[in-house]
Amino acid sequence: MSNSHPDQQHIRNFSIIAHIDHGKSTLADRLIEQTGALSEREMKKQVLDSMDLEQERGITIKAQTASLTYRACNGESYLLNLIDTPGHVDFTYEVSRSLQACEGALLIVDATQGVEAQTLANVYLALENDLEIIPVINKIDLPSADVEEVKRQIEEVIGLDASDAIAISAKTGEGIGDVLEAVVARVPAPESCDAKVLRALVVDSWFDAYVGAVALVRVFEGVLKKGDKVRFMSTSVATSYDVQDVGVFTPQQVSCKVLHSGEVGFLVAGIRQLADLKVGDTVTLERSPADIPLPGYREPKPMVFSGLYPVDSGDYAELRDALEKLNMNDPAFTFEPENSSALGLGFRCGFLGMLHMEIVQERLEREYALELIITAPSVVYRVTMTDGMMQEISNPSDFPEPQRIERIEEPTVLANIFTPEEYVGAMIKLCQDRRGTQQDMKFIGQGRVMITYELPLAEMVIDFYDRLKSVSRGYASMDYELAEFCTGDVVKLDILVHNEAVDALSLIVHRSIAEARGRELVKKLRQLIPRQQFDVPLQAAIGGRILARETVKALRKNVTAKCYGGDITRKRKLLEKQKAGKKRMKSIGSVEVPQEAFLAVLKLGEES
Amino acid sequence: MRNSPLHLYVHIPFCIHKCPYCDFNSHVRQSPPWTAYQQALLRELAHWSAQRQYAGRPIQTVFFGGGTPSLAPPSLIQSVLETAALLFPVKQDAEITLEANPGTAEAERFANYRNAGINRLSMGVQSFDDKELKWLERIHSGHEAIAAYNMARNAGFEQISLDLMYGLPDQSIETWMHHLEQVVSLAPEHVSCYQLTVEPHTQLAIRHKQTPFHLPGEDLSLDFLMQTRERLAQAGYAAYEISNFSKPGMRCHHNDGYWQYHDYIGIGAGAAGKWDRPDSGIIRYSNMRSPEAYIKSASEAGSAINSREQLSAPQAAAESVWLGLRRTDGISRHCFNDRFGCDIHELFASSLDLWEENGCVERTDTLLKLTAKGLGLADSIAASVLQTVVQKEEDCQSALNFEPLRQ
Repeated sequence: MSNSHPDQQHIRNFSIIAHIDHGKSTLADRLIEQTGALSEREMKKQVLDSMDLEQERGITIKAQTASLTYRACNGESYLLNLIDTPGHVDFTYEVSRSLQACEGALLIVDATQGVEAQTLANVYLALENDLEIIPVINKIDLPSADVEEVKRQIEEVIGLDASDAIAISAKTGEGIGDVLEAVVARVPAPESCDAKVLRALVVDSWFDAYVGAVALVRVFEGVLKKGDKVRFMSTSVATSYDVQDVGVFTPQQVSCKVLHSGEVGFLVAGIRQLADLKVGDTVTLERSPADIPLPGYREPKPMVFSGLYPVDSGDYAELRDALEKLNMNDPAFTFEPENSSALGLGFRCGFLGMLHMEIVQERLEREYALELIITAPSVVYRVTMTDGMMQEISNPSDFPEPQRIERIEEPTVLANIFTPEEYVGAMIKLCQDRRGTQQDMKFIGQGRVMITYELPLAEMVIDFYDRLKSVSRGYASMDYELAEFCTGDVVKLDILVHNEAVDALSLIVHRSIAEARGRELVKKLRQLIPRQQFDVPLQAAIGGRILARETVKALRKNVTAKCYGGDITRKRKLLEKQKAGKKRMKSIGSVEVPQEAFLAVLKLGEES
Repeated sequence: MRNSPLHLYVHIPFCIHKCPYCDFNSHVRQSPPWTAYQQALLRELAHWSAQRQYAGRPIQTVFFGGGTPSLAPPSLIQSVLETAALLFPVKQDAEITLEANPGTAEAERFANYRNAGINRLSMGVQSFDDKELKWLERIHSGHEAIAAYNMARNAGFEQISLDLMYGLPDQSIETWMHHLEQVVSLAPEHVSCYQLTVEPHTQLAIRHKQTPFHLPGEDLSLDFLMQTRERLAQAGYAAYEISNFSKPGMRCHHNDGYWQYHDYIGIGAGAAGKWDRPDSGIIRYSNMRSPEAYIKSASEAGSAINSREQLSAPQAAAESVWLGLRRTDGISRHCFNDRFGCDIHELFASSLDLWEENGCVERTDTLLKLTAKGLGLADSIAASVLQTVVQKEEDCQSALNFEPLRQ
């Protein structure tokens, strides 16, 4: 296959879109298996999710791809390029780039669950990219499967014609042949544009220790050959690269000489940094460049920020090295050094969203064996000053004095929540508590409701998803997209420990809930900070105004009753242990504060 | 301290029954091997008398602790004391204490112990309430304890100390104060009052883990401590250490020696000793804990050391502060300077300043001591003093030396 290029009429580029757990990866595995791209021995369960984290969490973080050769019922051989998409809202941009590379998409809906939040979000993205959508109803082997009801939901909730929906079981393999036939018959072939100047879309990129940054590209126009000199259109400084290798994934990487228009494959061009290879960028030829790039490119923009500090301040250099290395694989997160008076040296990091933040933190702890203190996440605020200047502020420490602020705008999201009817009340309460504005509410059948809310992003970054799952006993699902910046009356809430404001504990919150948050936070801290030699006042304040106060009462008794000649060595060792326990504390002034205190803010609202 | 007074501790590890709270080295034996044990003790005593660090130094006090020393035949006690007097100059009128279980069986031997040379009895009364005593698994009753006390008086003991325990599960302050009244009416010369402590690896710890007891919290514990001090002070018993009280001039000089950082020889199974000499620095040792292993080793080799540690000068300095602060008199700054060659307050300023600021530590020209507030926090203060040692270990090492001492 690598040597004989099929013509465009025999190529199909498609992806699979689904809500989490509706069976995307299982279907992908079946398609690979059925077309014989991998021998059974090579089939690991869910081949495409190759990172440990992806397999554990059952999600796809990085897009991947497989080129499958399929002999259709009409006797002709087709090249089916399956472009796997990341499955989470934080990676919407990556999903949309993957979809842009396709002409069609398989929309999987679980026959026992029906349409869910992510189903909808992904369909919208696919429709934006003008894709042919083939509804596939999965898990029909389960006794509670209701194919007709799911068809009805697809038509009514999503507005797609479901009469040709394919009922399958990815688990048993039933209906897989129909899916392959439908891809051939219904997904349009890519246009043939070999004669035009090269325009190829960077769908994904990753770092390879031997060859540097590698791109997954979809050639739209022209051809891409080994030996070409190419450049990327989003970079203003024209750096050109020699194409060292191109090829396809079967799903193993196989080199070929040329990628024609309509084809999907990899590109190696001696690009040293992943940061120089941006998803959504357009590749063109150095000597005859295209006039305009492919549409849709956007710089990745971090939306959620938090401080990352090593537990042991001696590990600062290791944390820096780890961030640098991880950043080579994932240039979407940003980091810059930060100095906290409470936590010492660390980094202020920006992430695409909450999941992205968790993934980066988990990889740092897992792959680099670092112990981290993570401060409460915050979002970007647009602060207009009285002098008319506008600042973007994501760190509570940088928040200006209230009297210098003219107006503050905060980012909002539009969230679609799917929930069983009985939890609608709880869901509405949750959204209202989080300052949400209801936009829509629809009964979608099977006793389920879709609620649409506009919510401030700041309210979502702190345990919203966990709360949503817990008040609905796990039945509700949610997806959101970033909406616009809206004026918000937000203030900086300071936390004072022993009359000293602690930067790592301060928060930016809406004025209406500042007092409640402050009260709850100092209460929580009172439980977490051990008793010291003296009373330790804990206060929550806005500006100089104290909103709430608690006191950690001074330690009063800690003394060994018996201490005689035979006990001295052992008792001394016990005392030394008491003091070793203190090593895990951070000193704020003369007060010892345990690490958990810095995470207290994440646990707010748990008992409410 | 160097050239400090020397004390002798003799451990008798045998018990009829092991109390669930006890974490001392005690072993239940139906018939303890007294003869062999006595020979081992004498052999060990001879061994230490020949060692440079102890040879020829006058012994100030002797203490028989346990276990249950009042199970031992008076002849064993007599033989140890006589041998000690042959091998060391033992001070005239030295305080010689025996720990005794206040049961009737033991009380019959009191006169013999007196004749063997014991002049002070320390009786483990713990409580006068039979229910509490049962919970503590003591083998005596409240009445027996009073009877034993009277028998000790009749046997001619002029120094008697009673040990009591407070803070038992669900014990009220009133109940405890009632026991104290009983103590005061008996009028012993010395009283020790210990808060019940669930020590790790004891039977009590296992029980506490299965079904936690309702033990007093921090505030109630402090009330126990303070009210005990107040009541005993009224009755003429001055506190001289956290858990120890005496009539004027009647403190236990043996135990006081530990807190004043004196040297001591420990003989017997699991016994510990300490010496501080120019050639070796400060050494702590402890013996094998099993009586049988101890007997074998001491009889064959003269000693039965199981572990030994050498303290660095800063470690020792911190330890002497930790122990010294347990004393109501505190630490003599002059003595500390004499031994360690620097000012106590300067050395531990980073820790002590804050405690002083918070009214827990008090400093005069001559003394450093805990205030009433600091008393209840002695361990926290000790932990912070020991912490400064780790931080300063290196800087201290140069300032503090074993060698520049005035012999």
